[in-house]
Amino acid sequence: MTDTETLFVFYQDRLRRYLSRASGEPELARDLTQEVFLRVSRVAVPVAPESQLAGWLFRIARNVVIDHHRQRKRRPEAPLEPADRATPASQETTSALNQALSTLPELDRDVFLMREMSGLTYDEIAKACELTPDAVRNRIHRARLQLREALAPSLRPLRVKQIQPNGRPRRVTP
Amino acid sequence: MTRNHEVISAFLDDEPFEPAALAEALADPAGRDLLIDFVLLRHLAQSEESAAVLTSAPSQPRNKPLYLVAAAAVIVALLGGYQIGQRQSTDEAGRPPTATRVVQADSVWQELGGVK
Repeated sequence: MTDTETLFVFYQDRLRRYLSRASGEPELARDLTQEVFLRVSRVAVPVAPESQLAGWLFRIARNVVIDHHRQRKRRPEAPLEPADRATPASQETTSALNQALSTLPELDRDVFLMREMSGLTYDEIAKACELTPDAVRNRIHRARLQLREALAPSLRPLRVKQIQPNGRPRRVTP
Repeated sequence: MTRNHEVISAFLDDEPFEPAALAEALADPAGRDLLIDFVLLRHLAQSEESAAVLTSAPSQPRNKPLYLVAAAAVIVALLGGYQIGQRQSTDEAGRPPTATRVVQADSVWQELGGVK
């Protein structure tokens, strides 16, 4: 795996999921994913094992997000309209989750999102964020504890629902 | 709790962990609660993300006004051009065309010898 096209096929979904949350604007995730691959296309893809490639790619993605936030600060625009097809309850949860994520230190948020949204290993995250795997483990755990506390009201109702592997929780009927 | 329960995060993330440390952490009711909440947290983050992507995918709302403005501009330009063309064509229809060259004809018919 050395060319941009192969990387795109293999990583675009995982990158988009990370960028969707890290930017705070799911509507922009596709544009930002394209920006990542535009930057990738300008340099030579390193010949390296997959774990190192993922780290390299997500480091670029992280820089894209940082640049995006800088541009937003410089040229503040009205936030994009949130998708309005979600139910009010899920909108509340989305907003609570975004709010909770925004209170995390930037690096803690990134390691958490790379793990939960993109399924990167601690080694891959360590390469992407220039940390040690132990530091990644520590930061992910700390982020989870903070989010757990902030989202306690949203998590409580989920405890009485059945969790579907790839979908929303379903209420358990007696 | 943070330190000795990190093993729960490692277990959840399919990373290397010490089984004894996990057993110790899960022997504590607070540790079990933590594991459940971390699973729910993951579920919450991933479900909301997929919902957001699904609802945003079909269209690009931020580009819509731009498309509308462009379409309106094209329609206005076409209608304006048509109107101007119509006006010019009706004004000129009744008038003869302006002469651009005058040819002087000879006043006397001349018969050429040898040709009958």
